[in-house]
Amino acid sequence: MSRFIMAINAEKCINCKACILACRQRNNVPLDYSRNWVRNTPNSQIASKVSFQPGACMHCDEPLCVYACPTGATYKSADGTVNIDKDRCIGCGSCIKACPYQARHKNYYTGTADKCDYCGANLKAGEVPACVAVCTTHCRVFGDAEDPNSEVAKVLAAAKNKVYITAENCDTKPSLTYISETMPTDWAKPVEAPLPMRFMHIASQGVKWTAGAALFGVIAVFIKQLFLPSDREHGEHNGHGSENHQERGSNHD
Amino acid sequence: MPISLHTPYKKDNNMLNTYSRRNFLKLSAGIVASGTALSSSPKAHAMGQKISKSTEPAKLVKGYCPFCQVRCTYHAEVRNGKIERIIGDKDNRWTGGSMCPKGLSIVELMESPHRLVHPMKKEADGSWTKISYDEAVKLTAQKMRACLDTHKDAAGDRIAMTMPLWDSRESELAALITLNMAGSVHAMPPGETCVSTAANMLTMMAGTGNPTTTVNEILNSKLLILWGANLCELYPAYSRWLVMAKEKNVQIVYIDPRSTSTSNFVDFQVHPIPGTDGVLAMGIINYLVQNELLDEEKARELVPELDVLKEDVQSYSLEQVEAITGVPQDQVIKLAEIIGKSDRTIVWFGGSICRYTNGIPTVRTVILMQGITGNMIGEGRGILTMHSGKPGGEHEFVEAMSGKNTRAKMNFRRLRLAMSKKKLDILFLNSSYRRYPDGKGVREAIGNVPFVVHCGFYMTPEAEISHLFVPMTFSPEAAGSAYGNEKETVWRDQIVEAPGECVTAMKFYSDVGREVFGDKYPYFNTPEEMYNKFCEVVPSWKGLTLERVRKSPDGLVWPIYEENGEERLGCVFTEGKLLTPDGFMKVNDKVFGRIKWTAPKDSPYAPKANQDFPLIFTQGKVVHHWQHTVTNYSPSLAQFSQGRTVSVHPDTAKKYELADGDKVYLETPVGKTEAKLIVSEAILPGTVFTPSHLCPSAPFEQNKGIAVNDIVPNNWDRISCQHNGVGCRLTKI
Repeated sequence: MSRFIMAINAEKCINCKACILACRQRNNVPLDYSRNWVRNTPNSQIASKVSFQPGACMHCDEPLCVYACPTGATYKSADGTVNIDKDRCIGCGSCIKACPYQARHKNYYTGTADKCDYCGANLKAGEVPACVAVCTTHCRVFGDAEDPNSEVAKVLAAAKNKVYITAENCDTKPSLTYISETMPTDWAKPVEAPLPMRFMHIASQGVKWTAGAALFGVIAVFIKQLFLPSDREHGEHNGHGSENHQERGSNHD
Repeated sequence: MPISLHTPYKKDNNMLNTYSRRNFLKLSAGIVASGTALSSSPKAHAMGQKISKSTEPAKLVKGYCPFCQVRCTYHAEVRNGKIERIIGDKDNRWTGGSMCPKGLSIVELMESPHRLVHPMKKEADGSWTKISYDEAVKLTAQKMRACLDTHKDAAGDRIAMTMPLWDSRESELAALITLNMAGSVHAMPPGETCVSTAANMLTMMAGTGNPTTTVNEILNSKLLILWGANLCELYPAYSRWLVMAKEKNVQIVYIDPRSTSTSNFVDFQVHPIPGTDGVLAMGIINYLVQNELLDEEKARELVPELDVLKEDVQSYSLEQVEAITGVPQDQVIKLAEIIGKSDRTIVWFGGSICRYTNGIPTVRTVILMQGITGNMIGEGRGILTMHSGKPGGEHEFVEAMSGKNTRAKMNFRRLRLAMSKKKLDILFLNSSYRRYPDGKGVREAIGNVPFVVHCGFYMTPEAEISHLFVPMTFSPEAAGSAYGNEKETVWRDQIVEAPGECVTAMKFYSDVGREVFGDKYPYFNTPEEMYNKFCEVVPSWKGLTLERVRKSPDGLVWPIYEENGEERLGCVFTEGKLLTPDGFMKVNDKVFGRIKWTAPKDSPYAPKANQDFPLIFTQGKVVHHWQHTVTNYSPSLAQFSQGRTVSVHPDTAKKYELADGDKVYLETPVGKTEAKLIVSEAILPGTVFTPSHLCPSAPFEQNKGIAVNDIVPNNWDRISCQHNGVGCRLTKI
C-alpha cells in the first residue's frame, strides 16, 4: 500500500515563494488565501539571519480536521493523504477551526473547505504537486514513502534529524516531515477540544438512523397506498364522493 | 491538558453513507418527486462557485519568461483561449523546470483589469482620447516625417529610444531598424543603468562582454566566488546550481555586505562595506604576491604587466584593507588563501559589483585577479555575470537591412542633456525612465520632448508623461525569440490572442517605418520571417535555425556557424587565449589608466564627505519585484511586498534611537521618501538597504511608492549611471 509523504529540507528554501504562486495557479486558490506558505523568522544563528520554513497541510495521521468534520467530508485516505470530499462538505468551517496549522480556508467560490491535496496529482503515475515541481532548490520532496526506491523514502531514511510540527497540547502526528533543522516549531496553535463537533458527529449517526427509519416508514406507507386500498378510502366510500367511487368503480370494471 | 484523540475515520473515496445537508436535500427532493431517481449530477456545486466551463480540453503550449536573463522556459496550460497556469519545462537544462514567482505572475499581468488595451492620444488639456491603432501609427509617422523634413541629416540626433523592448528580439530589431532608417543610433541600452560597466570591462580585458563560460562549468570548478551575486533573490531559478555545486563539493565563497538567502548555500562569506570591493580585490592580490601564492611566470601569460599591477596594489596591506572594507584581517587572509590555492575558480559577478561610481577599477581588479591566478581559460574557470548573454549579430543585421550609420552614439547622460536643451523631437519611451538616477530630473527633461511615445501595458509614470500610448502584447501573446544568460536563443509561438488592439513592438515599429519610408523599409510580416532572415544574414547564426530552436526545450547556445553544427558550452576562449586583440589583459589602459581605487562619489566615507548624511545608501532588487515594475501589477506578488522599507542593523537603529516598524524618512542630499524601518542583523552597521522597484501608480498599496531613484543623485562613472553608495540619513517621523 502506498503512503504519500512530503519531506521538506527547510535549509534549502530560498523564500522565493514560487511554490505559493504555482499552487495558486494549479488549484485556482483565491487571492485572499493560500494552500501553502513560507514562514520567515529572524534567526541570528544562521547565515541568512532569517529562517525560512515552507509548509502546507501536514496530512496528519491523527487529523483533527477529520475528527471535527460533522459530515465526514474530510477523511483520511488509506494512502496517508487527508482529503476533502467537496460534495459532502457543508462549509461549516469546523475543520478550519480545528486545524492547528491554519492549513485550511473556506474557498468562497466553492463554499467548501479547501487545503493542500497534493494537487490531486495522479500519485501512482508519479506526478508531483505544483509546489514540488517549481521549487528551484528542490527543498520539497514528495512521493511514496513505502517505495524504497522513491526519492522521498531515501531522503527520509537518510535524514538524521526529522522534525514534526505539533501543537503544544496535541500531537496530531503530522506526516509532513522536515528533514533538516527548522524553526520555529512552536507556532501551531493550541487546539481546543472540539466537543461540539464530536457531539455533532455522534448526533449525525442518530439523525441518519432516525431519518432513515422515518423515511422507511414514509416509503412503506406510500407503497401501501399505491397498491393496497387504505381504510380511509373505505370511509370516503361510505359517506362522501360517490361520483368518484363510481368513476373508480367503472375503471375497475 | 492533552486531547485524547480517537482513531480518525478512515475511508476511501466511495462515501455514501453519511448524513449531510446535501444528501438530505437530495433525498427530500426524491420523496417529493414520488421516488423518482435523482437525475442531477452528484457534483452539487455550492452557491457562487466559479465553475470552469470547460468547453475544450487544456492544451500545453511552449513559452518562455520575458523577465530576467535566466530565460526560464515553460509550458502554458491553455483552455478557452486563456492561460490557466504556467508549468516550468523540466527538460530545461539550466532551470530543471523551476521558475520564480515573477515568471509565474505573467498570467495575472495579462489578465489585469488595469491593463490598457487601446492606443490613446494625450490632448492639450492632458486628457486621453482613445484612438485606433492605425491612427497611432499615422500620428507617429507624421511626427517622424516632420522631424526628417525639418532637420534633414541632423534629424538622427533628434530621435531616440529607450530599451529594452518587451516581447521579443524581433521587436528590438524592428525598432532599431526604424530608428536607423531615420538616421538615429540613439537606442539607450538597459545596461547603462545596470551592468554596462562590467560588460565593458570584460570586453576590454577579456575580449567578450558576455560571461566567459556557461553556468554548468560551476560543477567542474573547485571554487565558486559569488562576488555580489545574490543568486537566490535575483536569479532564483539558478539557485539549483548552488545546490548541485555543494553536492559536488565545490567550495562557495560569497562577497556581499548583506546576509541574504544566498548566504545559506555558501561555505564562507565576507561582508565588505558597500563600495569597497575593489580594495578587497587589491588586498587579495597583494597578499598573494607577498606570500608567494602566485605563480608569477604563469600570471604573466595573460598579464604581462604584472609588475605594474603589483605596484598598484602594494599599498593595500591587510591593515589597510581592514580599515577600508571593514573585513577583519583574518577573513581577508582566509579568502586570499582559498583563492591562491584554487586552480579552478569561477567568479560570478553580481550587478552590485559595479553599482558604485568606483565600479570600473573594482571590476578590472577582479578580472585581473582571475587572470593572474590562471583562472580565466579552461574547464571550471572563468567569469559568470548576471547580465544579458546577448548573442552577437544584431548590429550586423540592422546594418544589412537598413544601411550603415556612422553617427556617434549618445549615452543617456548626453541624451538627458539634449532633452533638457529641447534638442530632441521624438522619444520612444519603451521602458522605465525611473531606472535612471535623479528620476525627477529625468522626468523634467523628458517633459521638454514634444512627442513621447510609450509602448507599455498600464498607466505607469511613463505612460503619464507620454503623448501617445501604444498597448503592447505580453510575451505569450505573440511569437518571437529571446536570448538568455548562457547566450541561448529560445523561441515561442503565439500562445493566446492579445486583447483589444495590443500589438507587438515589432509590428508597431515596422508599421511606422513602412509608413514613413514606404517600400524602402525592410518590412517583415512575421517574427518567423525576420528570424529566418537573421540566420541567413548573420554567419554566427547559421546553425540556430528556427526549426532547431523551436524544438529545443531550453534554446540553443550561440554561436553555431554550421547549419547542423553543435552547441559549444563552457569556456569561450576555445583557442586557449583571450579574445582581446593581443590576447592579454591590460593593467595600464589608455582610457582608464592604472588600477586606482577611490571612494564612491557622495559616499559618507569619501574625503570631504557631507557629515549630515552619515549612512551608506544601497538599493536592490527583491524577489517579488522585476526591475521595470510591471510586476507591481500582480496581486499575488503584491502580497509578498512590504512597501517602501529600509533595513538597518540593530546597532544603527540603536544609535539613531529607532525601532523596528518605525516610520522614518530616508533622505539623501537630493530628496527624501517615507519608509518603514526593518531592524535586521542581515545588514552591516552604518548602511541602509531599500528595495528598488516600487511604483507610484501601482494598484496595490504594498507596491505603491515613489521610485527610489528620485532621491538618488545623478552620478555616473565613465560608462554607466550609478545608484548606490551615496550618503543618506534616517529620521523618525
